[in-house]
Amino acid sequence: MLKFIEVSKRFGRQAAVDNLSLEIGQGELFGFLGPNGAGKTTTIKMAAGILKPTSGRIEIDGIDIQNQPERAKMLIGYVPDSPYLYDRLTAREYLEFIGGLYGISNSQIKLRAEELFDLFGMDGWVDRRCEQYSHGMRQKVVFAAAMIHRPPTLVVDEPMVGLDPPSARIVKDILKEYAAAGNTVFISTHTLSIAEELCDRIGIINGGRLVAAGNLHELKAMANQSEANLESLFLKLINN
Amino acid sequence: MNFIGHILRFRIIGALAFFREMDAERRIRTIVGFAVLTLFFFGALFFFRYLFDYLSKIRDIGVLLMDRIISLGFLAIFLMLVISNAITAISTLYRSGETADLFSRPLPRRQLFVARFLDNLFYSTWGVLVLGVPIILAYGIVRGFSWWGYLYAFCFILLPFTVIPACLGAAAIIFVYLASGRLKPRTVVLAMAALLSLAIVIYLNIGQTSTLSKNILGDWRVLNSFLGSLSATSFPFMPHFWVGQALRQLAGQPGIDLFLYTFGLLSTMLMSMRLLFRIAEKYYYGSWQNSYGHAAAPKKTARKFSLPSFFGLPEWLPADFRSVLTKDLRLFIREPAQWAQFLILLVLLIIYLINLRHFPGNMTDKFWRTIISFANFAFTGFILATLAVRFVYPNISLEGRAFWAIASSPMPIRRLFWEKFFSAFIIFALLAEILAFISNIMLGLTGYMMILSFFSILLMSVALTSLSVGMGAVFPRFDERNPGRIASSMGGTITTVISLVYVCLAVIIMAMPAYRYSVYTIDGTIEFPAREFILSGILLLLLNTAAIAIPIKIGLKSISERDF
Repeated sequence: MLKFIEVSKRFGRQAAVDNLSLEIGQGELFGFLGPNGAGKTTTIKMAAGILKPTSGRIEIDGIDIQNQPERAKMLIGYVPDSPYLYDRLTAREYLEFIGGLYGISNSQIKLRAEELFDLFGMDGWVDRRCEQYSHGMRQKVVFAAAMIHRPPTLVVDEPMVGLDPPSARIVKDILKEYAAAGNTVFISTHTLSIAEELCDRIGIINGGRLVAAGNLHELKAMANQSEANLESLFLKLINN
Repeated sequence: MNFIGHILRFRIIGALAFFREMDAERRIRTIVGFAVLTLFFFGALFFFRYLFDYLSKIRDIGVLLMDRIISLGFLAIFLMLVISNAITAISTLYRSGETADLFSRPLPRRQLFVARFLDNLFYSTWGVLVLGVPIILAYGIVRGFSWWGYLYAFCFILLPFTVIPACLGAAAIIFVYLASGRLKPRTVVLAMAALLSLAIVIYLNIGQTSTLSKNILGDWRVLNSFLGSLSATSFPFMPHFWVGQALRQLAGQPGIDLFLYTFGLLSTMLMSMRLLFRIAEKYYYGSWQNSYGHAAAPKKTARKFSLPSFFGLPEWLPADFRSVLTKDLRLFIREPAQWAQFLILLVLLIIYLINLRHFPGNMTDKFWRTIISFANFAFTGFILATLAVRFVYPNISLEGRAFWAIASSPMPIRRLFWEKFFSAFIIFALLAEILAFISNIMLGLTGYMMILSFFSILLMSVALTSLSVGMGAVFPRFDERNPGRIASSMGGTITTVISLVYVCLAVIIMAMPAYRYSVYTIDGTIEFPAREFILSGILLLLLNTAAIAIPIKIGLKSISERDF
């Protein structure tokens, strides 16, 4: 479970995130929608423990990520929007490295890595150095690394960037299955069709403030547009 | 769990993979790189051995001079290490994607910092050690170290000596970013440069020796007095002084003093590390947040930058050339890492000029005046070589991942190369001439020596710019944003080595006729050295043709054939 309690983040005088309160339960796939610069990535980075909120707190399964960062981070898998990979390591070595940071034994890492390589369809690539990978392949490696320790909460910033249609399908299915298995999945995107297709609930953020949250029906009710698609709902809500 | 070892293990795996799987072109470059560094290493060893051997045979003051050179050399290395660690820390500790990635992992922050610090230490130190190790080896050979003496020198003297400045540099950068939460980074760096200058002025005034103002006749004591006037080298509470003293002890019958100075180095290293890790534990994460905040905070509008009208770029320059030049100047002004190191180097130049103030002005002996002016010429050359590698070499790499924009534009890549060359040369030559002019005035040089100095420095500026731009095109690092780290890369280190060798050769070639001319004017026992002047001219012509033409040719070829 991921919980934001009155979280704000300011950069100088500018509020990137303003008093955000939100709770995402187990087995839920939550989509965070917003235009460019709305505060999505800042929120995700705070959830991943990279950025410190100016005020408020974030809890993962009841653990405050600022007070107990190491315990909380054990419960999170994070996929950034522009992933950092060690270009000179292979995907297999990269997963060994990341697994080690979560204190997983080598034998367990090996088994889990094979599972993940199968899951993401990465056969034939795993022993090549990351510098040879396409953007999509890099994204798959980062996804696999985020799931190496079977985190109960997965936080993903722009999951589909750079993925070709077959890879995008794989990732969508994995995210759905991961949530269905009782885990919490929090994704940010500005691609409305992805949110519409994948998410159980959607939150819309604009100018750092959460302007609406709920499932598609609830959002339609909020915007008084029972027949509208997500695009027109989104535009109406952020323009309001 | 010890995550530091885990992180370092994968570092090594990555490095080994790099060497194992490199393609033929990379392999050749790496082999050439190692060959040049090995040559430099043994060249430096040979040079210092010859120098120390020569000095050790001078009665009474030879050993003193040798110790002074050691002390002076290690002071320079100490300052270089502080600067290079601080500059590299901007990238390693703050801007690197790896650091952001590690912050998202469940690592204790202290261990995360230590892992990044060790990375920083390695990147900033290895190049400098290529110079430090031959000095110690040469000293040991001449002073007759036993085998354990070398072991002792490297483990208990050189190692702590490199860690202390690394701690200082990293701590300074943590405080800069910590303060940048409230102040602009530009203000913080300017304040630190001002504080550093003030500290140096106070330091020089405290350490100043009284012998400087005495009248001394022109003999060896004059030179000793000049070296003695560089009083910054003999302050007894600085690590470079302990290194000098400990090495001196190793040469004789080691007594209690050896352990005293070693203890000074080791205890200072441990204390520096402990202090740094405490500082990092408390402030690193907060200061990292500030660095992220500065990147993320919306700026009102970027300060508009255009060249003053009297410096306006001439209309006859091609539009794309002007466009790239303006972009380069804008980026320089807005890139803290660039002008931070520029400020630090400026402070070092001021120290040098302040030290020249102590040069005995009443020394009338032409012979020594010529010697000192050549020492000044050589030193100016070394400063220029350092400046060129720091500022000119990274220029092509700094085009970075945005190179596609130029590569896909109608601007020929060759023109980009020449833009980099001319923009660097104009600024560089101007700075070089000002430095040479001020130092010559302070040394009381006039007439033909001044003219000779003007033309030599101009020629040297062309050659050093060619070397840095050309080599920068051969070894570009488009993945790196930090100019300090680009300059410390293997390509940067090779360029430093070649530039220093060039300066040495130029000085040696010019010194030969100048020495003969001095003897001719002083006592007239020899003829006017016309043959030496002609030979020296030919050699200089050959050296400069090679230093200018070869790097430009291979640089142009490399950048024109590169895929982007």
